[in-house]
Amino acid sequence: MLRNARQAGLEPIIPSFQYSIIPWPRPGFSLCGILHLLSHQGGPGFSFGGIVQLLSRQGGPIAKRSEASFYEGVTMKEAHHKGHGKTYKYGMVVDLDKCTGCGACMVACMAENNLPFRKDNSDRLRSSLWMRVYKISNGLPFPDMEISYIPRPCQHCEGHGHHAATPCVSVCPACATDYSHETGIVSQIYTRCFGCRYCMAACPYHVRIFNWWDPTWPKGMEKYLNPDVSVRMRGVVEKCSFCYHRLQRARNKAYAEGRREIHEDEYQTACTQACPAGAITFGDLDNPEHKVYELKKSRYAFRLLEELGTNPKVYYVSTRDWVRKAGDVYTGKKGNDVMPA
Amino acid sequence: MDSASASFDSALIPEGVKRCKLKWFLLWIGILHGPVMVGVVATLMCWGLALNVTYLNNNFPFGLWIAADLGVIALGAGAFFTGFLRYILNIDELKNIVNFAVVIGIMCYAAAQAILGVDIGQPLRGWFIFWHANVHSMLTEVAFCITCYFMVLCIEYLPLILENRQINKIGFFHGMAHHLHEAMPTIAAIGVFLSFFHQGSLGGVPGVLYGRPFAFREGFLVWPWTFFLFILSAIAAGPCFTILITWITEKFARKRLVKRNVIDILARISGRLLVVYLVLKTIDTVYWVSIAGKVGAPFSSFYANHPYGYWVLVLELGILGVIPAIILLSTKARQNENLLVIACLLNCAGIFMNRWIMTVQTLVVPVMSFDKFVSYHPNWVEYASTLLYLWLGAIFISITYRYLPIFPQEKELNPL
Repeated sequence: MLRNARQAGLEPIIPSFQYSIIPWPRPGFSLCGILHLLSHQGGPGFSFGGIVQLLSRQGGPIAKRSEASFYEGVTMKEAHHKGHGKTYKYGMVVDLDKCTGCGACMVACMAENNLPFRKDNSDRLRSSLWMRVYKISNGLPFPDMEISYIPRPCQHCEGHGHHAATPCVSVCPACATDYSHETGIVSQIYTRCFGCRYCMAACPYHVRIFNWWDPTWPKGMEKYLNPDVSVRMRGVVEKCSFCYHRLQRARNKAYAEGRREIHEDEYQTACTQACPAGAITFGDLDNPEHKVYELKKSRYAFRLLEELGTNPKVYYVSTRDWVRKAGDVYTGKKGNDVMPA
Repeated sequence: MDSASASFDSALIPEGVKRCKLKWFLLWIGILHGPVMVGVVATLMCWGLALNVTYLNNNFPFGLWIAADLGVIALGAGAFFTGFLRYILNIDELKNIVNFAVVIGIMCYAAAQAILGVDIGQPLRGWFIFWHANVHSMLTEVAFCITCYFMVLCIEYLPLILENRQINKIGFFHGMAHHLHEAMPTIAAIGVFLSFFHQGSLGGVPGVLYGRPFAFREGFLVWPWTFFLFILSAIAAGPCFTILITWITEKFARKRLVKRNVIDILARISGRLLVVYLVLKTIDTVYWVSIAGKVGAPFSSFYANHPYGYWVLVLELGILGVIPAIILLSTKARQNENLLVIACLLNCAGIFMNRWIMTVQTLVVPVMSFDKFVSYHPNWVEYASTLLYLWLGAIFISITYRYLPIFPQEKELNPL
């Protein structure tokens, strides 16, 4: 199968962290190459580690093969910014009118992504939750009181205009987080993060969490950890990855079957699949064949804190005015009457 | 610390000055080791048990440590700014305090780096900031400049060590100290260049957070306005900190170490810079209020969370800004030692409060309308591990004062 795929001109998909973080070597080392690295704008940035890799691998068989397969016709910079071929913009649409606040998405996320927990996990300010469900009310007395639940994964902000970079990506001093222009997913490299927490301060959605403890599970439970997701050590920042490992798995499957494209249902996040009310829809926001493409165009759709210019890729839909007002501006402008319940 | 007699270490003490007996000196150092031990225990707890031993949380990734970091670096600006005035602008009288300013600078910058070593979750990976540097991050610029400037400070401190009575007898070291003094204007210029950048970058750290309307500022090219405000506030407060520590050292030594006219020059410059800073900060605040209001954050929302009410603004700009500026601008008030010390104290407290506001209050203000306000106060581990560097600084200054000729006017002011 693999041989067939190669003959069809397809190459195996490598995990994005490889090409997004480590500047892959071009054949033949030159000073221009170094300067190119130094001037690498907007992406993971200049890396001494990258230069060492460049020096150690330059001209070698790996470099030549990699260059031929991944960077044919495009520069390394273009590859990072535009992807190696077709680009995607994975995102989510959450129908808040359907969400019952059951928390199944949170549980599924924890199980899927090997999130640790403690005996008393009630301290929400220190617990590890990639997906968190907020409960809000319109603040009116009975019988006019209404409740809504807002599931909040990482918003995978793209930024735009003056703020052309994701809030958290641009501030990370060690390139431990990156925005992939190929998938629209904001990644986190746990083994590179040294825990300065600047990204957490930059994120207005509180999606980034810090590992205040060593990760532990009840005895025997470690056997049920997801082998596709690395367990994070203490002292690093982590966050929702849109179940990126599922995208890798889907791509590998597609490659094995001789396909370059993956179907919508082949890559779905754990929270999407777990939601019993079907409130969460996931897919490529730019693909007219995906459900999210139409859903995000709804006149009732909004995004959290749009006016800040973060350009998030998680859309919410609600027919209730007060819910939309609670989400699309920040404190005070329209959402004065919203109460955290 | 000043009763004279020959001590075991008298051969190391600079010529022509008096120091206390060795036993009193050792007792003083021993007393300081008490709180040092508490700080060391707190630090080891952070490293050994992870940061859950603090009161930091996911809403407050930055707390006392980062505020203290920004604060001590601003206060340490006295070193580079006095060097700038002495070596670049050639204000000759300042040669009598520039050595001590360097000592204070080393203390502050060493503290800042050490506190960061505790603050980060994976201290063993601290070098990643240099190895995998993201050139777009303000923190990267801060890390590079602080590290380089700390090296510059060490080079500036080196001739003082070489001028120790015994070391200076060795011809090589004597010559080396001489040549380092000769090169000092160049070294100071490098220090000034690095310091302007990292003081500014520290301002850029909160200023670029466009997801946090409380901290975010527009700016000039890639630098938010906070970049320039932080430089200005640091050079306005740094000299005051130098004056304050000199005054404390004089109290412990029970004698004058620097002539009043030297102190007065620093105080006058500090006062003028403080006025410029206050004017620009007020303009910045008014502009920020109008911009933030347009995009949905009324001014009141920033100060609606108890205890971070309007009093914060009044205290920072009024009591800790305007009052010391008035005292420092008035020649008569400056000559009153008590008033001068109060002004310096208020100025330094003001800069510290500004750094606290720009880090902690930035995180206090909820951004999402359905986000709950959460308060933060540091616990003993954070206090102890931060104050550790105050005690270590006191030990460092004590040893330096005892064995190195850091005050050129001491002999003249206190003839034996």
